[in-house]
Amino acid sequence: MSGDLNITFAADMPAASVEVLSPDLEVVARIMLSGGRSRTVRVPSEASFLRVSLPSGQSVILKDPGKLSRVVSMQSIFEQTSASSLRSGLTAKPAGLIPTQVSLEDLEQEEYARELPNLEAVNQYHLRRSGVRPVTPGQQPRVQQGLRLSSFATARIRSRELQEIPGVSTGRGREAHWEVEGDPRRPPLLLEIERPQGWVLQVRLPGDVQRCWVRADVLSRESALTFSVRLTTGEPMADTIMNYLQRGDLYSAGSMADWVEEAEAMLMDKRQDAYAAAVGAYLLLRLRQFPRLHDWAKNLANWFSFLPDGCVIWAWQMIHQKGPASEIRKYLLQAAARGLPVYTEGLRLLMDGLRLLGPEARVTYEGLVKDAREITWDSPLTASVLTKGDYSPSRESRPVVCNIAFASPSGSQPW
Amino acid sequence: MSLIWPDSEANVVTNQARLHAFVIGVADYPHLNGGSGPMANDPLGLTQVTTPQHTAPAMAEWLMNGHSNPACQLGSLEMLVSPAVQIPVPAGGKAPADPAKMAEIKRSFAKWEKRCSSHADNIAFFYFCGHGLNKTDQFLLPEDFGDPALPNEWANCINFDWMRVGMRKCKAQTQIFFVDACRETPFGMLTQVNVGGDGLISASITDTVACSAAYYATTQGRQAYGPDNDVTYFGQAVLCCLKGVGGLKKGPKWVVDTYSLGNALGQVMAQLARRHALPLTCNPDVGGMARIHEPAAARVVAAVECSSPAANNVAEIILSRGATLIQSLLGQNKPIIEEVEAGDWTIDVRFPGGQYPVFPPQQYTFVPPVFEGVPVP
Repeated sequence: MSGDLNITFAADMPAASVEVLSPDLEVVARIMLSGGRSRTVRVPSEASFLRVSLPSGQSVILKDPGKLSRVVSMQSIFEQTSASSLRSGLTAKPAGLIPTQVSLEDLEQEEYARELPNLEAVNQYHLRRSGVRPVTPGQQPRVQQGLRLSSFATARIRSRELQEIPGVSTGRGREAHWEVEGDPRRPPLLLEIERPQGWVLQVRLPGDVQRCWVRADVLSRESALTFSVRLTTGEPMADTIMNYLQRGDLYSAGSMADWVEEAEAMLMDKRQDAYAAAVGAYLLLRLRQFPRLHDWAKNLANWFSFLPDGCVIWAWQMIHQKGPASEIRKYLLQAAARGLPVYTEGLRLLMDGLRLLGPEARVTYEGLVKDAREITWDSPLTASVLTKGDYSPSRESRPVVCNIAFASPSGSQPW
Repeated sequence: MSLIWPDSEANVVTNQARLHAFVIGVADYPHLNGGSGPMANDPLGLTQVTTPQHTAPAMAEWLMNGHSNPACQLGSLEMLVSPAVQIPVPAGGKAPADPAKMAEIKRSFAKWEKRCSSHADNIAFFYFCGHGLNKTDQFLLPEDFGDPALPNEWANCINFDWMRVGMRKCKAQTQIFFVDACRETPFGMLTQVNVGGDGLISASITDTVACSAAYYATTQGRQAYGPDNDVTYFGQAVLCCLKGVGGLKKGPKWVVDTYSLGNALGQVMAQLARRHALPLTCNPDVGGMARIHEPAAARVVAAVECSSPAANNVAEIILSRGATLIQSLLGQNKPIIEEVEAGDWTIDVRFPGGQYPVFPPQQYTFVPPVFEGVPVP
């Protein structure tokens, strides 16, 4: 029997895409909800059920046949997924769904310091790890510069003025952690992970980054050295969208298109979060929803000179909307002159744009290629590897894997 | 011969929307290590591979016998494979595919692009399987890459990024590309200043395309690329998704579109990574949504194991749906990672040795693309 299904996200839920499926598995609706919000969806049957795509990449099916009002909380997801274990009286696997509430000091425990066996474990680890409590003012742990990642590398975050941002060594020296005063009007930062062999990974960080952590593991199952990077910014919704985009989950990302209008408003008011606005614009470009961009991408390009991404977005909006070639050329060249975009999406579009300009942009294109070096294309943030001195990959005993993502934001409740 | 289907150019439908495919598989590299020809000046540490000669025919088989899209049926299959193979065709018999040398690739590309341009609603479908290199741009290597007889050692090389951008000139408004190749940057490549490659086609700033989707295997190293003498892991994942794991139900039909394929590919590659303990990932770059295929039914990759190795070692896991039974008994590999029919399944986890308490069978709904569970004990 059809009816109206009311779905409410409890306060502990992060923003996430929800699919409403009919019993024969048809997608009835795809919506975005965040903590404390609710939506009503017309369903063909009371046996319709939900699939929640969490920002971490995990998806959970929630069934409650006959009930047309559903409240979704992290706790209910946890209970649902581990219900069988609870019934059998066993200790359920944490399922990796809920961030663990710990302090920075807790990260010195063995469970955080030991080597992780594979990429799956790395992703699970970071999901739990994202629940670290903010440092209490006045109890700031001893901060350092040039933080070691075991014996494998040294990590540091620098501002555009090359000022190093102090961080904390955790996980018994396996991890580096930074609490950053994110400012959406600040130029991008640069994370550098440098190995003694002459290999340097450079990752551009948005200026509104609030927290970043990095760890090194030798993955025994995959025989690879991995550097995993996670960060959160001042706009969790933008982080979630970037995670969806990075995984190619455009349906989930598309359900957040409404939020982009909030991002537009954000750009227009005093908060001026240029980074969140850029993420929203990249989403609309992906979804080919050009009219929804109006002309605010132009403002993004003109108002924030530190952000190459704004020029790239505006140029591509004009390309799609058949804007004047001279303006397109101007903004693409201006983007390149500002340096590498913060987001890989922007780098990809910038390079494609310069390719389309042909011989007239050849020099600019080659300059960009030179600056970009070896790009980690599956990172959401522009990440490139530089090599120095007599570095030779043939001397590497194992492949090096860079695993970069936004951390899964938790809901409005503090963890 | 490079046109595998239909049997002649005259039989290619160009006045209606069609999917025109160009599939390239390169396993034979005479100028690279282990090759039969004169060695490249710098073979960049690359050796012979065996997977493309299995992957390209598998893709061709699906295109000719499995692809179904009433609005855009298969229109043509252009194919080059090195070493040469015979491709079975639906009418019976076999068609020989020419070797994937640069000159043949250029000729075939021109013919394919022309067919694609014959109708705006066409789908241009490109699949490359072979060696790839990455130095900001993605390069795809034909059979005769590194020929030392040529003054420019990058002459026989495809610059995929330039090709994809150049394809904006093509009138087909849906363009789908699969890059089943490594994205490594060998040291020899880093030190070279004139790394190039042929983009095969060029476009201008005024050319647009409604949907351009590229799916990249982001594997590193030969082992991660694929099992010897079999289809690559990425190829397995693509086929699995096209055959129904990437399906979404829209009305009465199951549909694989550019969005659902991107999402499913990543999840399936993650499960293959679990199964083979390799760092397998996929990097979809999708702009715009378009329908690719309508599978007859939905499929799901089910990945089921206990939550600890200790429990796995003493568990029997049984998945059942009607008469279908999938089990991993004592001593057999866990997790179970199997492609199965979508719908309601029962999962029964038993511990014959009594190490853990009895646990009643549970019902779960498997929805594409992946079902992951069950957290017991």
